Formats: sequence, structure tokens, C-alpha cells
Amino acid sequence: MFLAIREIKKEKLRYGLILTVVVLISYLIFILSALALGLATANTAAVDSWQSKSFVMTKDANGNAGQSLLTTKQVDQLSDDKTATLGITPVNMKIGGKRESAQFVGMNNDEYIAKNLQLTKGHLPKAANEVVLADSVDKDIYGMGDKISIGLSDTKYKIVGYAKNATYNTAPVIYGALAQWRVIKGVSDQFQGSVVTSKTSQSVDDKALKTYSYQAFINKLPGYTPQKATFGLMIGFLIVISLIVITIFLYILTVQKLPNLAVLRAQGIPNRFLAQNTLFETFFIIATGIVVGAVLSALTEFGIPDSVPMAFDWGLMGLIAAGLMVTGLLGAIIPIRVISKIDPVSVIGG
Amino acid sequence: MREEKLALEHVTKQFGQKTNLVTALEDVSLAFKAGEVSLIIGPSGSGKSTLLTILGGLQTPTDGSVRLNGHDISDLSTKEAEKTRLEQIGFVLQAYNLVPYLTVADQFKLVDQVKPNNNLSQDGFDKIIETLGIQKLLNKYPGELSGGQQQRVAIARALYTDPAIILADEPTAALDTARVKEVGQLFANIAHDEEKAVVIVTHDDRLREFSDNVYKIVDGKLSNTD
Ligand SMILES: Nc1ncnc2c1ncn2[C@@H]1O[C@H](COP(=O)(O)OP(=O)(O)O)[C@@H](O)[C@H]1O
Ligand SMILES: [Mg+2]
Repeated sequence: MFLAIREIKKEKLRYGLILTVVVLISYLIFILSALALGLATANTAAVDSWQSKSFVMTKDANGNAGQSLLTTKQVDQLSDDKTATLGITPVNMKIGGKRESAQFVGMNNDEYIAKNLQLTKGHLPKAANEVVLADSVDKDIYGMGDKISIGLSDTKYKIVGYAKNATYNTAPVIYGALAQWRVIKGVSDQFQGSVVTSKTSQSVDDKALKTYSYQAFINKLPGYTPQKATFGLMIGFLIVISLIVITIFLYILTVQKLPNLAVLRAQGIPNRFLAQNTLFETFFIIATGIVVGAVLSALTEFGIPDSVPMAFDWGLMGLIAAGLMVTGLLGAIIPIRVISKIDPVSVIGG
Repeated sequence: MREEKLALEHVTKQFGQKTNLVTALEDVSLAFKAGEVSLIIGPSGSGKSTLLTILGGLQTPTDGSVRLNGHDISDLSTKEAEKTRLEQIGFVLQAYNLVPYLTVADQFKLVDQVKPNNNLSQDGFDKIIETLGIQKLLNKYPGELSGGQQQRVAIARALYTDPAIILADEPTAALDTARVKEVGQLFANIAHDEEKAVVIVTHDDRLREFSDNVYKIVDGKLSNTD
């Protein structure tokens, strides 16, 4: 510590540069992870709020609820007191001249999805032409009592409430009556819904149907899995890059100091003392980089428009920070090895 | 008779093998006593630095033995050799003696970090830096000092651990004649007043007048000139 602190103080430019790089990398990693998490949440918030364990759809839908059409017979066979039938379909909602993509989720008021729905305002849809919108919509456009058009239906639907955590596949959810799903989607009346979901696991005999666990259902949300993989790869690469950058910097700094370090070794300064200093130096650089990067990320969250989904999870940030710290300290291994291999005799002579 | 501090007995040091074999030292026997300045003079490549590093336990002889305070140190472990250097020996080298990012005052504090005990007392330290004329340099970095000032700080640094032995390799290489005389006198005073064994290897004849014993080394072989 003794040497590290003084060296950093004396060589401000040098350490300022490496610190800047570490700050930028950790900032980028934090922002990327917040974006990834924001996007993931926008994909799954509604599904998470349902607290379902399993989902049954037609096999042909390949896990995409918007593609699944269950017949009345199938729904009847699947239903019991722990299930809820949902009619899910991507739609456009229109008000005035405005148009916006949304997900219509039709439900039965006497089943658990409707019963558990958390409203921030208003009440559940009671009449066929009543809907509850995601709380995240712009209330200046979609005001309480306003009427909107949805999908292929000719009905004007009245907004009677707003629901919490109501985004599905990044679009706002419109909760309405299950019977309206067929009208909005424009399918014949032999179909009753798209998903039968349950608080417990479900098994099916019907070869045309397939059961998905919560995780499988989420992973099948259009675009969700590739998005997650992309972000994961980017974050992974950044951590590897930070490892390489820190190793290179520390290596160059160490090599530059070699003659001095060799004299210190000749004078009997223990190897361990010098190694600890390099380790502390690394720790200091990364810790400072992470703190500054986190502060910058927090400032960014304030500055960024709501349309960009960002979610900061301190647990996740802590995990990433720990990952950065571990890889950074790994970066000190090579310089420490260089120090331990110094031959003091090499500087004496000439 | 003065106490023997350090001695070489029939020391030979060879580098390389077969056709590349270099004999840097050949059957060198020497003893250094407390309270004396010993000068080993020789041209470049004669084996002076090799001799000094063997005396300091930085490398081991191919043949022969090294005695420190009557104990053979030829076979010490790296750790033991390190400890011996830290506690018993003060090195003054031609260059890189000072850590560039430490102030002069911190060069000494660094020593306290690794060897908290038996360093110079405050009085002893004050006396040394006064004798060396570096009191005003304590807050400066090595880069802000002249070559002569750096060398004086390096000598103070070597003395700070209160070692029994001072080993100096070309300590006057960067100095003009006036400074050489000052540094030479300083080494003489250290040996005579503080009862230290001072060993200087150099090609600088100007240091002769400050030495109690002068040896000549040529091609790794020693001859006593006095
Ligand atoms: N590590 C080494 N490997 C090979 N040869 C060496 C090594 N160290 C010193 N020598 C050789 O030993 C001889 C004496 O070197 P040195 O002790 O540095 O002389 P001086 O300090 O008097 O200039 C030289 O010929 C030098 O090339
Ligand atoms: Mg030499």
C-alpha cells in the first residue's frame, strides 16, 4: 500500500489514463446490463406478475402465445380450479389519430389471473367493452374513460383502469374480457383462447398440445432469448477486454520500473511486499473505476428517456462489479510473476 | 586487531559452459574488517560487480565460500539471503538507488515498512542527513536532484538500516572531482566513526586516498597493491 498510494499520487497522468479506461469499461458494462435487464423486464413483466407455473398451447404455435388457437373442447379439458384461460394476441390500439402496438390479454374475471391483477387505478373490466391498460402508457393519450379501438374489433373499448407490471414482449398489455379476444383477433367462434395457464404443472394427452414451464414460456417470447444472448456476450467480452487492458497496463508499468524493483530486491525488500503493492494498486484502480462507473450509470438513468427501458438491479450490479474485480486482480498475476522473477544482479554491474 | 565482518575464501565464479565459459573471478580470497574502507580497483569487465554481488549474497560462488560475521553464507536460501541483505548490508549502486516516485523522506519510510526495528534513531538520522547535506532535500523527488545529491541520498538510504557492512559499486561514476572527494571522505568517516566495513569496487583512482586497503583486480584475479 505504501508504495502504491505514493506511486499513484506521483504518476497522476499514467494512472489517470488507466483509470479512465477502467471507468469507461465499467460504465459501459453497467449501462449494457441495465439495458439488458430493462429489456428483459419489458418482455416478461406481465408474465411474471401472473405467477404461473405452466402454460399449455397448441404445438404448432411453437411456444408463441400469439400463434396459439385452443378449441373450446381443448380448453374445457384443460380447465380446473387452478387454471386460467387467456386469449393473447399482438394488436394495434388506436385513439384519435394515434396508433400503438400492444398485446391484448383476454381473461375470465373468475379465474386467478384476473383475481390477482394489481391495479394502480380503476377497476377490472366488468362489461365486454371495458379494458384495463398497462400503467406504463402515456396517460395524456390513454386517459381514464377514454375509448380506444383494438385490432379487428369494431367495438370502442373504454379504459377503466391501469395495471401494474403490464408489459408483454416489450409492448403494453391491454387486459380485457376473454370473449373479446376472438373478435379482436378475428378468429371463428370454435376457438376459445390461446393459452391455458396454471399455478401448478399441467400434463396433456392431446398430441396437438404442448406444455411449457414458466422459463420455457419466457424463453420462447419472440426475440427474448437472442436479446439475452447478445447482451450476455457483449458483457462477457467487455469483462475479458478489461482483463486484457489491465494486464497490459500493469505489465508495461511494471517493466518500466524493473531496474528500480531490482534494486529494491537487492536491498532486501521482500518479494511479497512488492507483489502486495501491485495487487493493491490493481484493487485501487478497479474499485475506483467501478465506483465512478456506477455513479455515471446512475446519472445516465436520470438523463435517459423513459422510452429506453433500463433497469438497475443493485444485486446484479454488485455481481458484475465482483466479476470485474476478480478479472482485474487476475490481470495482476503476470506483473506479479515478472516481479517475482527479477534478478537483482541484473542491475548491478556495467 | 579489528573484527572481521566479511570474507571470501578461494572464491571462483564462472558463467556459461564449455566454449562460452567465462571465469569472472578466480580463486579470490579477501577479508574486510569493521572500521576500514577497502577499495577494489579494476578496469571494466574485470569482475568487480561479480565480486560485490557475491559479497552481498545476491549470487553464489561456483567454488569457495563467503563468510559473514564468521558464518558461511554461500548456501543461504533466497529468503535468508534477503533478510541478511536487509539487516546487515547497505548497498550503494551506480544507478537506480532511489525509488523515483518517493520523496527523499519517503525513501527512508519505505525501509521502516519492511524493517521496523533497529534502524537509525531520529538523532542518528538527523546527524547523517546533516553530514550529507541533504536536510533541505527531504521533500523533493529523486528526479529533482542532481547526480551528486542523488548519490548522497543513496548513501544515507544505505546507512539508514544501520548495517554492519556497506557495499558500493562505482559510487562515484556520475560525480565531478569535488564531489568524488566529498563522497570519498564520507565513506572514510562512516568506516572510521561508525565502525562499519566499507567495500567499494570502482575504476576511479581518485578514491584511493580515502581507503585503508586497496586491492587491484584484473581478469578476475586479485593483487594487493599496498
Ligand atoms: N550473468 C553473467 N553471465 C555471463 N557472463 C557474465 C555475467 N555476469 C558477468 N559476466 C562476465 O563476467 C565478467 C566480469 O563482469 P563484471 O563483474 O560485471 O565486471 P566489472 O563490474 O568489473 O565491469 C565480464 O566478462 C562479464 O561479461
Ligand atoms: Mg561493474
